[in-house]
Amino acid sequence: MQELHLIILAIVVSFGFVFSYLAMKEHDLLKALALSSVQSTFFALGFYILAAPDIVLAYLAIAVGAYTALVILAISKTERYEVGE
Amino acid sequence: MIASFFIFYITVTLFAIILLGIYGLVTRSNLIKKIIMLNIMGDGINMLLILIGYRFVFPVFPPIYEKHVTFEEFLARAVDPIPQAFVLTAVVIGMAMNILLISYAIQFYRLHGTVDARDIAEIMGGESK
Amino acid sequence: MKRDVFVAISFLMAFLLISYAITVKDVLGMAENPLRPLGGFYLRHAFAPSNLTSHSPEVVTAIVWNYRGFDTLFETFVFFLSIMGALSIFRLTEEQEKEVRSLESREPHRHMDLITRATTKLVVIMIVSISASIALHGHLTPGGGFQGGSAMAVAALLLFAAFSKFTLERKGLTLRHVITAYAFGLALILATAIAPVFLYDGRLLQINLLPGETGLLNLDVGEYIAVTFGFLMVFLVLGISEWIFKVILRGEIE
Repeated sequence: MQELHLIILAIVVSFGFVFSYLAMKEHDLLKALALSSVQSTFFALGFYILAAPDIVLAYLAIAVGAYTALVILAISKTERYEVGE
Repeated sequence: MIASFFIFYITVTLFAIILLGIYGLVTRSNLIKKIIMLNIMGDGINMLLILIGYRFVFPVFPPIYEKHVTFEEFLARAVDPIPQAFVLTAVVIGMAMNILLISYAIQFYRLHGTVDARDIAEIMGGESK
Repeated sequence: MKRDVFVAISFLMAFLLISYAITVKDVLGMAENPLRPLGGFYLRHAFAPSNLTSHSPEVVTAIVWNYRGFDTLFETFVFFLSIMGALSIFRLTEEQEKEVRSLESREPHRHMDLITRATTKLVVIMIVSISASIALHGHLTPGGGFQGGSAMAVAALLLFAAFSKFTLERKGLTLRHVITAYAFGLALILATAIAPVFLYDGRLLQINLLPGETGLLNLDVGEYIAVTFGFLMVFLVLGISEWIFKVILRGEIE
């Protein structure tokens, strides 16, 4: 059973890695933000598996709700596309 | 053995997420993108801190007392509460820091019309290509 | 996009290989993770009947507000400073505020459809009640001021997105009122921190002297109010449309 928890955690962290890599590669900032909030959702699941209910409550509301809205406001006030090199 | 294998894998992947965040923070030139990568790095660090306090026993308890559990069993199975208390404040302060950084970026865009780090270097009189 | 997915997955394969190669002999011995003595101290004393207790079965809240209370107090001030920094970047003089109000009345009035508005009202009521229960039970069950406050900020944001900034202002949540509420939350925290000195001859933040759980409850409620209205304040300022700010900045230059 202990192994099962760790396997779920490993899968969650792997998904987090994949989505944060995609967020880094994306040139459309709105898409990058969406990918990074998917990564945040997976991390919230990981916090729950690691027996930290306090952090899940704060982290879900902030990383998926308030932070995403804040960056969407910022993108709407500045530029949507990142200029490549 | 299988448990330690997965623990090592999780640790390596979290370090990779942190390094990915630092790489993105350094190489991307858009300020908003830099903020997104900074947050990914912070998430990796928070998760690593919580993993340090985790106990590798089977029915693992969160650090909250319950009536029907004896005290010795609670001590043997509850996770370490200190990293959780640190990360809780780190999450909220990270959000406050985001607010400050984003308001700087927006105000810079209003005054100069760009959020690209290369253009900012030119405007501020630094080296430019 | 597809190529990037393959690259990321091949990275993961490399990590899997590295960890297999290293742990195949179990050289690290990480499977047993004993509790650190400091963590054991907090677990043992947080709900103990006698000395060094903090009257709270929730050990994280006990650490955040009782054992490491000064950290959290100054952390609240860091939060305050960064919110005030953001507000001072977007500052407006009184004439400019009047100008903003006259320009905002010219803005086109947009409505979401009825289904969205009705659902949002229901969901907002649910979020408000849940965040209140998270915050007020923070010293007994998972939760606390930070968690409840950030959940409440999401409710405010939802109203903001489905209706508009003007709906919030019509309901009385103008910037001045929100700043007043934020100051009230901070005042509650400071009053609870100072109360043991004057009432019970204790030290600053020695909230064990207060009867029962009042100390933790007051601090949680104060933090709840402070975090809620702190976030709401920033979103109210950021919600002003960009063209209005451009007009005002042009007026400032001339």
